[in-house]
Amino acid sequence: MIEIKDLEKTYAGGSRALDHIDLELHPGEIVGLFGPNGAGKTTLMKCIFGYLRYNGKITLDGDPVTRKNIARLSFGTCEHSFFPGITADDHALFYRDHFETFDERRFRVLMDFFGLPTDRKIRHMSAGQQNQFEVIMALCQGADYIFLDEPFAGNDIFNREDFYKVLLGMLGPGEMLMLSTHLIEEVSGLISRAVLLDKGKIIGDRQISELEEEGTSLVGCIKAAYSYRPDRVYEALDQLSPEGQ
Amino acid sequence: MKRKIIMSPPGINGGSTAALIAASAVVFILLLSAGAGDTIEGIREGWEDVVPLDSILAGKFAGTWIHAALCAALAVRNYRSFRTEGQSIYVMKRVKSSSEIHVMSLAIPLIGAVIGFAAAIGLMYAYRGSYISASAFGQLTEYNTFSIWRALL
Repeated sequence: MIEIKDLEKTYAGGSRALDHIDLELHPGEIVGLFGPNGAGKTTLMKCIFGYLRYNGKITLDGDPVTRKNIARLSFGTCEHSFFPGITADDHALFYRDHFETFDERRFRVLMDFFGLPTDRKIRHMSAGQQNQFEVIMALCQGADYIFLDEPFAGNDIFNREDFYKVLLGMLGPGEMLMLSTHLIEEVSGLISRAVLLDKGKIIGDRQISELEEEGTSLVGCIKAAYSYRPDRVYEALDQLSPEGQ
Repeated sequence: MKRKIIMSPPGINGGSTAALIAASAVVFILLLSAGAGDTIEGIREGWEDVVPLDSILAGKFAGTWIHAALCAALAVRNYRSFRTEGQSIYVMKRVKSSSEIHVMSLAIPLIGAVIGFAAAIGLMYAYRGSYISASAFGQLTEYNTFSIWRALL
């Protein structure tokens, strides 16, 4: 289990990105991490990995996240963490060499699923293919806790929908997946839990099964949490109309 | 299973590394050749009027430092490569050994610099040997023969 206690992150200049975050992530969960831009989603993930300095405590099965256990976590990011100058096959060699748990079979299946070339340098792939490759490497590292930050940018709807299905069938019972995305409706059938962030604070943490029991949709829950005002559209249009000027 | 040692960042073009090292080697050899020419010239003149070896070789080893600077630039480029065109540094921070990134970034530049300095020192002693054997050693003061290290600076 990943346990986050009283996590605070303040950037240089004083802006507070994360504000007293308490969160537990359990094996087997598929967690959706939602929030508007600047809510702190990426910062939270980077803090878990220790890529950013923070105040507070983050533990993995009771131990701090260090070189000794960090290979149990993997990270797919829209910033891209692959090596652009080598091919997919060479990535497989590198990962096999550096991560004992690298899942070669899963790698081959996913490369085939997305139809990605294995012998082309990643920098020569399209932006969508690069995003797919980023996700593939995060899923194949053999980590117990997989974090994907905006993984579906540049992918068409058909690829995404099929990928969700593959993902659901592929993940083992001990694997946790945390997805940061704005595609709320699309992932609502995939995730088991939704964590809502706003201005660095957790403003909601709901199990999807609870929402289903209540008869609330994920989108409805999120709109309520963020005090969504549908009338703001009419207000803006009113102000733009000739009468409103 | 034994892990392979990778001596350069994945995807960093071996050709450009080789070209960089070759360019610095050319500079190095040219300057050292000039040093050899001047040493021979100095030996000829030395029979009549002893010219200290470090004076003869002064500035001739600048190539060694240019070579070392190019090797340092190569190391910087290697480190930077983990943060350009993406953040492969994130993967490097997840691999077991914290020294891996340093091995990848520093191995070739360090080997290059060591070879450069070793060649410079070897040649310097060769010049010294030639100088001593061709000069009347008795005429040379300790300063003339044993201050050759100053030529490197």
